[in-house]
Amino acid sequence: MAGKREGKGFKGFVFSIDAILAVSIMVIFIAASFLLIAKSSQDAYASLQMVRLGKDMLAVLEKSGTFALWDKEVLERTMNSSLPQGAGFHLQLDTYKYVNSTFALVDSGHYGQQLPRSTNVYGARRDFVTMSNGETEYTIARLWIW
Amino acid sequence: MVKITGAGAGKRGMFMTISVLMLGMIILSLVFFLSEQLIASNASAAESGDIDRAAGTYANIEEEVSRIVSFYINVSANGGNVTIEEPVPFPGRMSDALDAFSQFEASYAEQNVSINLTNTKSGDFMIMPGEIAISNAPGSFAVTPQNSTESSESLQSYYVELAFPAGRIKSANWSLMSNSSANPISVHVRAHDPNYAVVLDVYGNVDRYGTSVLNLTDALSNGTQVALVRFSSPAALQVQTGSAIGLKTIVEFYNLVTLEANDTISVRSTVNKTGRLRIA
Repeated sequence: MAGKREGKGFKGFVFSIDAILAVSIMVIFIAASFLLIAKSSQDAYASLQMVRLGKDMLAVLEKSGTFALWDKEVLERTMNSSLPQGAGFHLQLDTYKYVNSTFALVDSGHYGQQLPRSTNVYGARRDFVTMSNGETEYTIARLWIW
Repeated sequence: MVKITGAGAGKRGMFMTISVLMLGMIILSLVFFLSEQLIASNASAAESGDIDRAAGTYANIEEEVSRIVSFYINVSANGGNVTIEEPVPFPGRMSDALDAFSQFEASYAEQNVSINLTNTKSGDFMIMPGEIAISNAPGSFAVTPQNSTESSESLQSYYVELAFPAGRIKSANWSLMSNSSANPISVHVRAHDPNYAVVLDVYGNVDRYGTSVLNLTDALSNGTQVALVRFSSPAALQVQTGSAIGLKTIVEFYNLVTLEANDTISVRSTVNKTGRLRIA
């Protein structure tokens, strides 16, 4: 009788070990799946594409003379019609003049929406010089898109 | 139904356990491998982003330097033609504008930017390929090719236009002419006043490796020389004048050319980019 009880105890132990092993493997499998899904959903090259889109947009706006207008409505309409649907943007234009060997901020404009806090935001920048009537202005255009 | 009991059942149980363990290990290894690949891919994307950022800043600065230069002198390279239109003497204000821009970038650029514009400021450029030097000195403008096939031999023709103040120009005559070459350069020199009331056109085929000199003389005084256009070996051009004039030069080549300045732009961040400044 004692031998039978010992045999049953051993079988129970093996059964427990087997169950723990099965649960562990299942947990590993689920964790690994979640890890891979999470990592693969972050497209590392998407940011590069968005930055390039931003740069191209700044170049087009500058070369077409849209920045020179300083017209909020025109700028925002142009941006909204050029960006992919559902994308947001914030544009900042800072203009400096070279006075007495220093650069003085003479104009600053903000366009578009407020920067979001919980979304990935991609930034692009373009510096450009405008010369007219003997005056030179240095402008930094910063664009954030999301 | 066959029931396995005793030692057979134990062995089968052990075999099952080992199989499941191995399966777990294979899954773990696969996850580890894929995870490493994802990390490497992310690192590669980050590096591409850094390269892109440095290249973008470099291109932006190069474009703006070219724009500042183009505001003071008209330079362009169109296929095999290079056009340079500038006042003589060379505008000194361009140097101040380039200095101010360099200072602006040094102060506000997000990366560490250094711009060397020594040659650009003095109006010295380079037509590439062939390293044909364009230089400006007080009262003088020169195009100086190297003595080589891809430099002096690539040059096809010169068009030189000199715009003088009213009543300053009277005649244009060759004081020295070398046209014995079997492989000459076609030249066309035009001198005129602001209203084109006086227009002097001189054409010729000059020796690529000889010296030919065209004298332009004054209308006001007694035939005093107001400018001199010299073609000399190897296929070089020099314009000298004591007065303020407008000068337009078109150099035609057999091959495609670009215009560079013998200066560099450097952008230093996680990725560095240094290159020679291309003007046109």
